[in-house]
Amino acid sequence: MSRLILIKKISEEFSISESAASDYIKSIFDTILETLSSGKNINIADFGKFILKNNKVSFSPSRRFSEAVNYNFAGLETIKIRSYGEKEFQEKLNFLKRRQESLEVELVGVEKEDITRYMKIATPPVIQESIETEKKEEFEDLIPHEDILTPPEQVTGEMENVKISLEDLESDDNFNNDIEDFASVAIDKFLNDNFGEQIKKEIITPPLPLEPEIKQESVLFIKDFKKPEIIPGGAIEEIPAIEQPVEKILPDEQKTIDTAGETEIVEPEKESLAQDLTVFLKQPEPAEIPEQTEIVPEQTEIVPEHIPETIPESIKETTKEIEEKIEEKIEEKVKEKVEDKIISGDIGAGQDDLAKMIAEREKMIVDIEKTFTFTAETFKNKDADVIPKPPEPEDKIKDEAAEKTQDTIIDVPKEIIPEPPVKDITIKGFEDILKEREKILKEIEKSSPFTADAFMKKDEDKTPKLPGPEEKLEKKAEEIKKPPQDITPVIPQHEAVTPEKSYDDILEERKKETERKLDNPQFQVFNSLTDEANKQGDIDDFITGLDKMRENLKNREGSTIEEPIPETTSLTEEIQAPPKERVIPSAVKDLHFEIEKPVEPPIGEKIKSFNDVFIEDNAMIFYNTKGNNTASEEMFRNGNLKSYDDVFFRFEADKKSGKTDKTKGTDKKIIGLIWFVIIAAIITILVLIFS
Amino acid sequence: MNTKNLIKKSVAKNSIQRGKGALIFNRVFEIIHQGVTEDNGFYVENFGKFEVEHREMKTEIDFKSKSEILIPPKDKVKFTPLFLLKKK
Repeated sequence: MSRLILIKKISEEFSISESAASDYIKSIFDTILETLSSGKNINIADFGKFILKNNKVSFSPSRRFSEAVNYNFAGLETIKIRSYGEKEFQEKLNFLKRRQESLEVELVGVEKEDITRYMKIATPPVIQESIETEKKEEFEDLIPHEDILTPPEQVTGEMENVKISLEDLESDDNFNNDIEDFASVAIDKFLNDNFGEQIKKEIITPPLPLEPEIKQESVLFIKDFKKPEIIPGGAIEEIPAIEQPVEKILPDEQKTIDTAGETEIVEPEKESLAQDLTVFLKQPEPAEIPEQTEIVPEQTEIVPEHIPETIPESIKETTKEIEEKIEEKIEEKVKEKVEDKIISGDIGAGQDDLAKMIAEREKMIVDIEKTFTFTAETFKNKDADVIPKPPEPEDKIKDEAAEKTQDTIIDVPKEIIPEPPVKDITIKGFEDILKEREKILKEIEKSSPFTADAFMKKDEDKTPKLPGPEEKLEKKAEEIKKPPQDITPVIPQHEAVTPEKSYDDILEERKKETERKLDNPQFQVFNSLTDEANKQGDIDDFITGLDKMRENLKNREGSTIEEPIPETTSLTEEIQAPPKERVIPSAVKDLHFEIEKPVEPPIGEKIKSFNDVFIEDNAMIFYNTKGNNTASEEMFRNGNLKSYDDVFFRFEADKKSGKTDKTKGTDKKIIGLIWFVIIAAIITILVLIFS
Repeated sequence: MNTKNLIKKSVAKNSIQRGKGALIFNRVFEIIHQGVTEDNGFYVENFGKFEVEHREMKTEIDFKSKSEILIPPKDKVKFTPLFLLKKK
């Protein structure tokens, strides 16, 4: 978002030209600048304040604005983690103060660069101040003791100084933990992060011009240093101790000391002369040494170029002797090994094996070449990337037999397997092989009596066939189509045979009944639909059910109703007969007409709406129930009634006013009259008495 | 200085009516407000830059209660002026 967007938006919203809008916006910000430059604060409502402090403008947003910006973290409050005791609090304060001071020192040191560059690496920021202050004292102590520092020691000299300062601080218990932590961290850094390399890198940079005070300090470091002399053979001569300190050092020398004192020149161990010689002989190339000394700008040429010239003759002789001895030993060992092998015959056997292996390998390659034919045509075929040559007939039979045993469950005896057909040379690819396999399988199936189908058929013959649902339906349909056979009724056991009725008589009766029933066409239809087993029972139930229905009907209509009894009892006649007229008794008829009296509107009046009828009905109800309600009566008569609410509220209003209660009004009048009479009587009596 | 005085001064330089000028003035700072909240910043040429600065959670010592306090994170509005005020 920028001013351009602002101008566009305002010009669109307020229908002003963009130039006018830009001018106005510019004027707004110009006025703000003018007021600020005049030294006044600005307060813009619902936006914020522009406050001047030390000729610098700061903006404090309004509450609404700040809340809108800090929407994601709104409602978070400060949490009290822990409360300090007085001692703890003071310790903490002291620690914070010192840290602040050290930070200030560090910042000052950064500006100087030349001194603190070294100090920052070796010392923590907290202790740095103390080192700077105590430096002079330490050095003063060192001078009378005349301690001589070698160049490698000089590098760690600063660290030692630091240690001294740490020891002093150890008395303060508050800092013990911090110092220990720092020391552990520093040690880890020194070990893991190649602390020395960092120092080296810093040393490589050209030293900056030093201040007079620093020069004095540097003199203290440099006073005992002497340029190291290099002996041929990579060994460096030990620097002899200087008895008297050097007062002044030239700048050139100083530079050399700064650099040379911090180079890592490894002194070789001088155990014996022979060892040195062996080292020299093993590493005669002096090319590696300059790589190490590249760090030092000018004094890197530690390794001399004319080393062999300085070697004495006696050493040369000894080396020659050693070399000769070594060569002799090697030759002897080689000879011994060769002889051993020749004796054991390992060398000859190995050669033979190799020849055999090569021959076998060649054979294998030839076989593979025979089996596979890689041509351009075959390569084009997607199906056959690698076309194997057709196998021999014997192998093929075996494979097929194996496949058959897998596919068909029956184990095919070898005698039954026919001879395979002659192999087609035109077979190519996997699909062709499959086709061929299918063909072979078919041929085998034809020839062999044991097939999968035959195996399945055997099982089918054994298992009895159950009738399916379709067959069952067909059977039932046939049974229904058949004419009804003569039914021989079965007499139930509970019908006891009496001497009057023999068993034959009962049977005859039953037969007659059944015949009668069968003659009925309705029964015939019913009979065809029902099952054989439940025929008799169902018919009986049906008949009895019909009888019951008739009886019920008779009972309902009552005995008073003279109903013509139907001649035929059959169902069909009942159904076919015309519907009978309802015969209603006179008493019931009158009641019915009373209830169902139609409300006809009076002649000449319009048909009223439902609402009007409802209101009238309600009014009538009011009128009927509260016969003394004059208001509703009047309203009804006048036709002021409009809705139920009107009626209700009017009625209640009348109630309150006392219009509704006629009787109460009359009682009051009477009571009033009585009271009037009584008072009048009293007054007359009193007048008579006084008079 | 209040908004009223600012509007007066700004309108006096232009030919825009006072009422309309007030509306535009309010709208200008509304747009800036909107820009800062939605886009985390608004840049006005030759004037300044409004930015949203995130201050992370930190611990501080309260000297009054002598206790350590955890201050929650916060998004603040930061204004960096692009003008130099003349020294008196």
